Amino acid sequence: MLDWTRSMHQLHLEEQILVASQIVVLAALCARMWWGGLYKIYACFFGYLVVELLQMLVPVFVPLNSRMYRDSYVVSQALVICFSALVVLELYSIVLRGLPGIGNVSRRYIKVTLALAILVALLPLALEKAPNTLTGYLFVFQRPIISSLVVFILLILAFLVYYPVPLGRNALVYLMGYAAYFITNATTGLIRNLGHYWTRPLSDANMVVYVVCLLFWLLALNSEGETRSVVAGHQWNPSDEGRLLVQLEAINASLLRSARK
Amino acid sequence: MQLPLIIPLALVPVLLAACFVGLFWRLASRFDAQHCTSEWLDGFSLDSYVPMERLLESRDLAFLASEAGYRGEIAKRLMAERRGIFAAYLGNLVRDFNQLVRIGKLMIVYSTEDRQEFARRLWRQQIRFYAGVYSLRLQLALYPLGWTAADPHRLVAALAAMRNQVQLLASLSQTQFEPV
Repeated sequence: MLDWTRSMHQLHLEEQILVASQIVVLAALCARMWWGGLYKIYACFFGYLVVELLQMLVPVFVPLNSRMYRDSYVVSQALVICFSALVVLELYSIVLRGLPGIGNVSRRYIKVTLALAILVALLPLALEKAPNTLTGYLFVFQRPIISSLVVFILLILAFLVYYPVPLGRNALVYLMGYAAYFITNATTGLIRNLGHYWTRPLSDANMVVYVVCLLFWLLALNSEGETRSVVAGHQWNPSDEGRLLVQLEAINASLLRSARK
Repeated sequence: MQLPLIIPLALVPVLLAACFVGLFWRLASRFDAQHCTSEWLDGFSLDSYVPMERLLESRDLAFLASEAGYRGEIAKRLMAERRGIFAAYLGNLVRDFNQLVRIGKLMIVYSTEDRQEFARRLWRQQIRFYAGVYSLRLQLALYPLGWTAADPHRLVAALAAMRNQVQLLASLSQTQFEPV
């Protein structure tokens, strides 16, 4: 997440370190997802990581102060934003797939939450400065989209807290990473759009949080994490699910017995 | 950037982060499905709440006042003890209601058919029940000040309605659960 407006000139030392770390961790995460077969399950997330990696590699081949770099940054950043939205929707569909009992409830919920998230994200738009550059326009579009994703993830979590939907560890890890990263991104975006102050510390903070999130995903994501837990925080053993179904059938029988009394 | 704008700006991520931490914590400590057992249901009965319905009735006080040697402190002490017992019953009532809600939610999530209507009713009953609980707790707090309208009938009826809902769902499901 390099700030293009300053990278026109020269990267500072800490930025060089952060960019190098991002490239290394992104490449490692892509490789891990590829070898673990997770790219098939989380196709949008994998696409997002690949686009991010390509974006980070652009300065290696294109001079930073060239018009070509600016254009390639804008195009790749637009792609990154699109993938961010797709990643969240993908996660939502993965978490709620194969649950016919709450199929309609979750569909209705997603409609309401999307509308609410977009509305909340658009609220600060009136306060933000009108852009006068191509990247300025990009940032003005980026901030509401990322903000709406933050609200959307928050509401997904509320749904998962309410219903005992079985969750895999990977889904939880993704959610945690997205939450941390999108909060930082939306906040720094809002500050930047309000006044263009503290550009360097904001950009650095964004990159640090992103590297930490990437590292967290790299260490925590694996194919074993796809095993669904019966209840998050308690059991992670798939055999517990069979036991729970037997338990539910016993509850059914007990309820029917008491209804006949 | 102006100072007044910085404070709300700093508050937004802090509040969001707090919401996320709270939700992740709740997610990690969601109820343990192993505690929703048929044994609990077999032992569950609405009859255990019958004494609660007459704990705070004024008839007992009137009877006490008619007895010889009656003093105001005796009635005061009796009602304080009864309020404590009533609060304990209320805690049990909430616990039983929550347990029925958990069973209902588990049945919805693991159902092979869409249970949208039941999910909606469950949600509404929960809202109504918790509103009733808070109202009753308020009445209980105001009881020493002379507010004597604490009536648990509606809450016990809500508990019975929840049990009936879960029973209805059980009769519809007829052991049709599947792994997800």
